[in-house]
Amino acid sequence: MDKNTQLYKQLYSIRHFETLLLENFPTGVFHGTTHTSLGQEANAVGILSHINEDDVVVSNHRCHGHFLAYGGDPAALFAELMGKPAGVCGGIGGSQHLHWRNFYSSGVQGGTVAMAAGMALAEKLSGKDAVVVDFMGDGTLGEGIVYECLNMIALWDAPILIVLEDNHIAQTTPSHLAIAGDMQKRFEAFGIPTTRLDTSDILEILPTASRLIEKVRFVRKPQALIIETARLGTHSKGDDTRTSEMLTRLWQTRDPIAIHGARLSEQDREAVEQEVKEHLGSAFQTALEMEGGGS
Amino acid sequence: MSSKSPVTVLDSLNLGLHQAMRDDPRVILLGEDVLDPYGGAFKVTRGLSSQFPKRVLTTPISEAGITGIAGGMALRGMRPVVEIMFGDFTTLIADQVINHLSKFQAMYHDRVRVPVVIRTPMGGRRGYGPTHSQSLEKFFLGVPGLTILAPFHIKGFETLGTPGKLLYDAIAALDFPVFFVENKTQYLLKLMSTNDLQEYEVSQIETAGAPAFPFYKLALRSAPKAQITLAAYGYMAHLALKAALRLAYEDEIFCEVLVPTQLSPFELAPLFDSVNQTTCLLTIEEGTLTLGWGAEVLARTTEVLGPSLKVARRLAATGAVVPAAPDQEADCLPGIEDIIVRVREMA
Amino acid sequence: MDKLTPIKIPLLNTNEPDALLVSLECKEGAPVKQGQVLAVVETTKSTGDILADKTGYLVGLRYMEGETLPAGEVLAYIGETPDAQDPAMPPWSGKDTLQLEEVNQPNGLRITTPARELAIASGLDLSSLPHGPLITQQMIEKRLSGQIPPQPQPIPAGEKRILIYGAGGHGRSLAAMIRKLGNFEILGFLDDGYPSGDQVFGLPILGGSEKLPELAQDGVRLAVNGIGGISDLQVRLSVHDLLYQASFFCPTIIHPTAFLEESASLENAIQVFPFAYIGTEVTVNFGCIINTGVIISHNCELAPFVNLSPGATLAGGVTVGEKTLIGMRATINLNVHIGKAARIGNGATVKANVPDRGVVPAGSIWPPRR
Repeated sequence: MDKNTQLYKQLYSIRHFETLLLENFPTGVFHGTTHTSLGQEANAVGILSHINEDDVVVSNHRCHGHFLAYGGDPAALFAELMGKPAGVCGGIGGSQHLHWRNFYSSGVQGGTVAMAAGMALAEKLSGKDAVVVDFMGDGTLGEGIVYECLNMIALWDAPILIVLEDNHIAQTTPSHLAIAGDMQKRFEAFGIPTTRLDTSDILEILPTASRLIEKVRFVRKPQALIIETARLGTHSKGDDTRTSEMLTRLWQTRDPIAIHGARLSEQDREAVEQEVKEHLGSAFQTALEMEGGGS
Repeated sequence: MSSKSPVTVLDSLNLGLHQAMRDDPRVILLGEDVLDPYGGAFKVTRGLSSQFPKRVLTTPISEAGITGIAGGMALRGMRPVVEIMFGDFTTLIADQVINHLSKFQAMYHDRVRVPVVIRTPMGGRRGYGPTHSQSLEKFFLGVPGLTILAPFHIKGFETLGTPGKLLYDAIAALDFPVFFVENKTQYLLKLMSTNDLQEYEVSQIETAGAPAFPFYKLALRSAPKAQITLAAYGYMAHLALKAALRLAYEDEIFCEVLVPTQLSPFELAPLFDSVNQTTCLLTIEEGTLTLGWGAEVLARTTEVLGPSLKVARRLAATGAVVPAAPDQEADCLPGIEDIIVRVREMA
Repeated sequence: MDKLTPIKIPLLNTNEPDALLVSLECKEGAPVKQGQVLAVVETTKSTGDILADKTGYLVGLRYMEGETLPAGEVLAYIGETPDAQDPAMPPWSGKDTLQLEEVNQPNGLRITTPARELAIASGLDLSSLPHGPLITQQMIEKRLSGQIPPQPQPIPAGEKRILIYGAGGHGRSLAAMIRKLGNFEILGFLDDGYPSGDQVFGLPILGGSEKLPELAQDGVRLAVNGIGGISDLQVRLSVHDLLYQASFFCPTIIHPTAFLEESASLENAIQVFPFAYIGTEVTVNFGCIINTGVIISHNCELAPFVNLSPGATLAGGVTVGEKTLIGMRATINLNVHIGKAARIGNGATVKANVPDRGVVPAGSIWPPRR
């Protein structure tokens, strides 16, 4: 399979997983809440294509895309969301609190930045060359602990890449109502070199991500990457106050699956989609048949 | 590093920290103003940054941040010790303690460990005023996944002294988050040796928890059977002992003092045994009354002993704030006289 | 008279009345120059130097490094000569001056205020009360009403008559020791197992425990516990109780060949047999038996009623709990703690702490090798 097709498969896998999730929620097979990564798939795939086995990934409430791009098992994730003992965290963590290998996520804004900072410092103090990648959102910038940790990350040279996925909205609050001043300057105020990307195209994300991760790995100092992106779905379920015009426009111009899919022939695209649908359909089925998870 | 025997609680804690850092290279200390020669606001960390320069981090004034960072470090194999300069500032770390550190192990399906010790001095009686004199451990009692310990100023047979040994064990031997409650006035207490305890019959009872932490029972030696159980921890245990002595000698009211070192999770079997005999219980704490430590102790004692418990009361701090003026502060925080008055009412 | 200038502890921090004496920079009697640093004190928030405000000699130093002192307290004086002394100041004994609050302990007597007041009001002699138990009003009432027999008078000066309770092997060794010491007059043995009037080891059997009150009335007040208690400690303890109830006093007996360091401190009712060694800063509590050839190295602490069998060897810093028995030639390693009522067998090697009631078999090594 050529590179583009491979990438499309990864992107589409996340897209389809989240779609299946949203379609099946009303049937009651999934419990609790979830925060889907629709529109942000390229960020996850683009950045996590460049990490190695010992690197650590920390994510937030919107973590499915990161988890799957990291290599997490979709059946285990479905099962976790179904509340089954065979799920990623035995049904205890649910959608927001996942841990597998070196992947960790949690649902309190800002708290994960501290966790990631500590992890990076631990990796550094033990003399390893691992990198910690931490995903946060624009809304996270409201939390004080973020600034406390940016300060210490810079002060102590934590080997961390902070990826801020700026989808311009935090739940139902657009960023212009929540963020004063400049996002990039916040990081730079602490002396953390910051790169800004405004794209939903994976081929534009990949080289930047590669460069930044290498830099963190070898220079052993922090970097920040702000990716302007689009959240194509609701915050969790049913909570989207944006107008339908706006959403349509976003779907038309900022859909990473459409953008990258256009590079493949229709035939190849459909073949990949079919494969993914079968694979995820079967993962879903497997999870359904697993024990436990009462209603 | 001095090899002399610890004289005060402060010495003991300092020795415990030195020993812990010496024994395990994964132990790392984070705190504000902890570097030598200052050695920490209350000097508990004195000498550590000189002995272990790479493993003592002086931090910005970021209590939440450093607690969260300690959690991340612990998840990746280190054994951090966080000093929060004043117990009053533990409100700032509540999210990291409650939503993060104490939950990681359970929510990640037992696949991680969080060996973090957060230590902080609570308590007043220094005139530092409302935001520097409180005892806020009560807000963390009962948080699942969090162990709360408080040392007792007895030398015991430990070279480190029992406070240092308790701290050492919390750091070196436990793999889950610990909130280690120190007390500013308790720091200066001389560790009681056998000679200092001649008036008392001291028993050390291991609790049923896993791991077990010592629970001390002190009765008046060769005196009539105790009629009332006084339950207290930390600095208040010192005041309870003084009060018990005076009550015995002045009023012939005989108390036995029960001192837990593990506050949470609650392991009160030794207390229940004592109250089963005395039928009368007074809890004494420096925190505020409502929903405090004493409230939980009374609830549990009632559940277990039922009508065998005849009289039960709590003594705690009063007032909206801990005032700075020494006389007003003394009125607000329970002292030896307050304990004596209350016990006389109950007897 | 020398002029003495006091050097006071400064108030470094208005919130803290006490300061820790971190270091003393000169000794008693040393010459000091004006402006010289004499000591360093600190509080939790600040450190300060105490300077000499005149030239002279440092005298009357009353404290040691590590002590906590209240502000305003006199640390020492600067005198005109190195021997200057304020006659109003009691001489410093050199001991640690830190003291815990004492409630009410005249001469080691433990008595509640109500009991004391009643005793005094009723003309009861306080020195006739036993030491040890906490004396309550009820006990005084019982005494006054005749329920508790009156205690005999305190030991008159020069009283040398002594009893040995127990005429077995241990009692006889004690008799030999006391004869060797020559400072007591042994009246005889008390022993419930021998007929009265028998002679054992050249000494009469005076009778059993029933003889105690009579002898006490006669003015005999000294006794030693001749029960070794190896097989049954309870018997030895009950003899102590008996003697105590009868108001007998057990002096500590030390064989002349035993060597005790000056800094060792011993309670009453202890027996130290020939060639025993008690090292520096050792504490031995009430009723211990230190048998022949026992070696107790520096800084050990023995709780009451510990029995060290012949040749038992303790390294420095060992602490032994109440009523524990350590066997012959057993060796206990540095800083080990042995709990209460434990039994260490003959020839055992103890390298780690032994819990209360622990038993280490003879000839074994504790902890056992895996």
